[in-house]
Amino acid sequence: MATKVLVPRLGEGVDELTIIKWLKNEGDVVKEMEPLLEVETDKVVTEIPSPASGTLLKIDIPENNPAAVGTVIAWIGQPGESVPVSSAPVSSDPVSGVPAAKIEMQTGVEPPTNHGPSSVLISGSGFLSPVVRKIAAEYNLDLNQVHGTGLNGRITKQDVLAYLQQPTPTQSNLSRDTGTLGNLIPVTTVRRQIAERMVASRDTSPHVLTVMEVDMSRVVAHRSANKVAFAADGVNLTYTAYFMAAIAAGLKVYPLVNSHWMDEGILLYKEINIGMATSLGEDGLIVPVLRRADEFSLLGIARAVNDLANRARSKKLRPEEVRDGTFTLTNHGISRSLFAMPIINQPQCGILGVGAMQKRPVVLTDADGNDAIAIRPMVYLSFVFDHRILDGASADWFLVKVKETLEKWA
Amino acid sequence: MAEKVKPNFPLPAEEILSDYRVAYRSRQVSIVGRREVLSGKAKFGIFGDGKELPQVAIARAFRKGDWRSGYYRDQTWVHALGVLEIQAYFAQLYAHVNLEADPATAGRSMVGHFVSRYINPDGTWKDQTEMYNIAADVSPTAAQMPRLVGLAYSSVLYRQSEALKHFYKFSHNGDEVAWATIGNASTAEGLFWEAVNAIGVLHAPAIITIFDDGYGISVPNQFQMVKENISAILKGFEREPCPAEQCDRGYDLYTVPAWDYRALLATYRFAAETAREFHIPSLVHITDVTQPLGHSTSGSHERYKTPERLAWEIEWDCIKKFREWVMENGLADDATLSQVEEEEKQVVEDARKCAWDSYQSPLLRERSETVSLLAEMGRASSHADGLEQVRAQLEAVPNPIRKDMVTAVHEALVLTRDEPPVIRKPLLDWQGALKPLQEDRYASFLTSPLADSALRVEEIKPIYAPDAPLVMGFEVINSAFDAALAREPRLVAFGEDVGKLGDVNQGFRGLQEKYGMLRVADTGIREATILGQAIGMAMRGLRPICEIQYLDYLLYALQLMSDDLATLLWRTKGGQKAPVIVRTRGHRLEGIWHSGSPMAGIINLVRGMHVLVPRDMTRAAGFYNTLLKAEEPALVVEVLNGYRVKERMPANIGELTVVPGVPEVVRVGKDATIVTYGACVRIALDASEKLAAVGIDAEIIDVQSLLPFDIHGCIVESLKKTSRVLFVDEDVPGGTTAYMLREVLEVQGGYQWLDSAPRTLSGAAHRPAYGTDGDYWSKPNAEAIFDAVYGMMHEANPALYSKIL
Repeated sequence: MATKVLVPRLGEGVDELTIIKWLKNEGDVVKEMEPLLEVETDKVVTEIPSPASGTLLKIDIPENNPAAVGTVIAWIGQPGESVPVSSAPVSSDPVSGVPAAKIEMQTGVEPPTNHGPSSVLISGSGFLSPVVRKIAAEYNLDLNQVHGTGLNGRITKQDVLAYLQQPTPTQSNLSRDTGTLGNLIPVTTVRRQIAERMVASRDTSPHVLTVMEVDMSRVVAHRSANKVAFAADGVNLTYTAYFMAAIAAGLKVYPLVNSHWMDEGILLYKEINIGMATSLGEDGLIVPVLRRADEFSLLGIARAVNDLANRARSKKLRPEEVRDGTFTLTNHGISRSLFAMPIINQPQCGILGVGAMQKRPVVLTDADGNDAIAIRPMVYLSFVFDHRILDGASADWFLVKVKETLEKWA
Repeated sequence: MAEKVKPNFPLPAEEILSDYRVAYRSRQVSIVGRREVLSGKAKFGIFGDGKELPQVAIARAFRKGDWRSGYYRDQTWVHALGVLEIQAYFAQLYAHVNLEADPATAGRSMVGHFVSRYINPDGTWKDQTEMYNIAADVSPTAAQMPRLVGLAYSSVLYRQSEALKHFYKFSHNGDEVAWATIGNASTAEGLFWEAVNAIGVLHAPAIITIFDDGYGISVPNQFQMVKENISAILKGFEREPCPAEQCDRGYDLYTVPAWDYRALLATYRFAAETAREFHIPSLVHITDVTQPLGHSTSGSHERYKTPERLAWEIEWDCIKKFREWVMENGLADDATLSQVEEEEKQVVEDARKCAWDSYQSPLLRERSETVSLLAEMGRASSHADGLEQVRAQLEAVPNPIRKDMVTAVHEALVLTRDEPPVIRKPLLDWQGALKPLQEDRYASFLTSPLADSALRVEEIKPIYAPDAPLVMGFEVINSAFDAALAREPRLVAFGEDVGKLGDVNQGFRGLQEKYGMLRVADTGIREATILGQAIGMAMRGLRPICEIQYLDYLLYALQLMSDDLATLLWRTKGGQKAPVIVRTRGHRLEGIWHSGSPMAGIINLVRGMHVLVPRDMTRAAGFYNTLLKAEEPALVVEVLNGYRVKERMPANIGELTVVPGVPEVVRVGKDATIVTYGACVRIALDASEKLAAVGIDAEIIDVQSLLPFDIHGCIVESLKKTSRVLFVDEDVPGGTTAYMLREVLEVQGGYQWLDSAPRTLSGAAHRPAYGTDGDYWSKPNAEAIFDAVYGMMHEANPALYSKIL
């Protein structure tokens, strides 16, 4: 009996991925655990090892095609062994598909979790209720497109009905002329997932924005002084490293900001894992995570930030490197934005946006109370927080701590 | 006692010889029947050997209009009456599923289960006064006794009630005698004593014969009864010596040996006359009974009877003694009797052969058709070898039954599962054609498919006058019973405290005064025979409402409801019915034995009855009105804490009807469906108010009727809307809530409409504890219902319904 190669679940909420490259051709011999194909999700590109030793008998889904979790994508067995004919890829039950993928694929991917590292709560289930399946079958829906609002993100009947009532046609992959309305362009899976997650986040947390400006003089001076020395160590000292360090210091002092709202209460994370939003251009955005950011020196942070950013851009991140963030930093200043209102990366409590650094005239007051106008490198910090957890004042205390860490950098 | 009887009963010689023929023929039937079973042609046999002579005598005294409630050893009696053909007896032995072949049970009961079909094929009643009436036999020991109470007591009602005088089809002046037979060992059962006592109290014309062969299978009388002598211990039931017409309550007792033809004839003639004329019951203890073939085909009595006893049984065999008596009295010589015996052997053998051929011929024909189909399939299929094997196996079965054919066809269809439909179609067609036939053979008539079905009664909704008074619940039901007693002369209500007190909750208040002691009556504390009384009365055309005071006491009567009443229509394939209405009240009062709601126990035992669970007295009244328009047995469980709840009095209390199997949506909602019944409806309504306060809109459905259950799929329609369902009741976990869940999810296909896991909320596994807190922690309450529904809503939409507990 030939072994099925199934699409594994690479992380919570990842219901579909794209097959980028088959590393073996039909007829090739492959060993168990030898890399068999490369896949891409909205977050990662990763290799999938072979679930068995034998000959790759048949590839059901060719490169550059999407495949749902649990789908059979290939067969491995003895030469000449027959495999079922599949004219179209048939997705197996996602619920049963998950453990199957885990067992058969032996990817080493940990069970999905939607909480932080210290979380012990039940992870989200891919359970689809009978009526949801029934409606999906009747309307030929791709449930990956439906945002689940039930407990643990379950897609409920109400979600499916709400989805069906959306005016936007979503079933077509072709751009089509809608007459006077304009031209309808298809969206990628990544775009759609971003859209869904943004909406879900706004639906989940009451977002509040607070903004402070930071005098970056001392950071700029420190960077100029140490840039060469860091470079000698092979590290490109970026401002991002300073912001990460300042955030870590703030979270250390105000642990409530490093948390997650749950029905049972507020979960304070034990670790400070700061994600940094990294643009991939047209391919969207990825958020690699610097784990235990508070335990690093500036050098350590800078090195790690370099490494993560580079591998993010080359799509070489491992699945665990985009998981378990407890707070997120986003640098919208790159595109010259001064301040912004970023969306919280669920289920975290807050996200800090860093605007573009500008030299601005500022009024300085000395110890004697004399005012003077000076030119200083200034940055706006936009902090968006979950109002369920924090109130304005407590959020501001945290932001002040970040600001002061940067302004008093030594 | 025997000495009272004057043994000079004159019968012409040819009549006596005819009795010998009947007795001898019956013995042959037993012998041949046993042989048929032991040679594998039938599955089980139990016969009336050794009891032939008393039964010949009973048949001589038994008249048209009389009733028999006997047991499976009465073949001689029923045959002697001329209502049982020997061929039909064998047909039943073989399980010939055909009403012409076995007019008693159409092959549904084992041998010795006799039936007079008093119901016409259209469900109407035959003239019972023109029939030898036989209440369909039941096998459980002493189970024939409770209904004897009603069969006998009906004669009292027909004689004494002016209102019943013109029901000529059922009685002639109450002259009908009810006859029972029972084995000696079965008299150790409580049902026997309860029935004997009740009949004595009711002064009802019954003649109870106890066949005493000294054993109950292998266990001798020493372990069965005090003094090893049933008539000695029945002595206390004997009436005081007095002229029959002045007699108070009590029995005449007779003891007669099974071999004494003259004494038997005289005893039964005298007992029958006394019962018929004066409604005085008798107990006849038949001693010296033998059992020449042993208890049944499942054993040999040589294993437990001593050689002495076996030798005695041969010597005192009633037929042998009868033969000697005939010869001693010069009625016939040995040669004549031997000639008779040879002729009777031939009669029995001919009947057996006809029965066997008639049983076998459709099976052989169907087998040969099946074999041809399999052969045909084999020629077209690529599985020729496998099919040939299946075909050959089927062909080799010596006495094929339909199971052999279905098994072969199934095997062939599995073998050819990948083959084109054209090859498989003939067998699939065969299978499809068999299904409705087998349904009719084995499943039909569980409830009535005819015009007398309660499901055919049209719904009449309650009408309320603008100034309709708000009254206590018991006043509503009281008005309904008043109206029912006024319009239906055959309606008789009885039970513990029903008469003078008007029942413990006043449903019959004042009605005994208004309609008399016979119509609204008290009974002793005897639930099994309260039910039995109702069964016997309903068989005789009356419309009893028998009351079991509390639902918890129904357990006493449950065996009979299950074994006799619920199966009657089915086990006679429409030949008999007993439209009994069992009234009780339950669900909530106090403590272990007065608040039970063991509905699953009940509904799982009484399939064949309607089980109705009205939430208030208006609905209860509607069910009683419906049931009185129909002729099916039903149990109505009123809500025990509903008698003092105020209801508006409908203007049409005597006419309104509620149809079984049709739930009522008592609160319209959109978020979740709560399915419940009885006392829980009010609790669910309370909970729905609490839910509404937090923005949850629950729909509440009162199923009203557990058997039948939601026949039009009202609940699944609700589920299509809400996609969430909670089943609530006061039964144990996994009890009736599980039953309802299966009905809705599996039978109605509700599964596909679910968006949340379906839930049940029942009472605790333990019995309800005493006191208000005991009740609160034993039964579902508004808070528990709230939590169950809220939990579903939280799971579906945690953002809107945050966790609160």
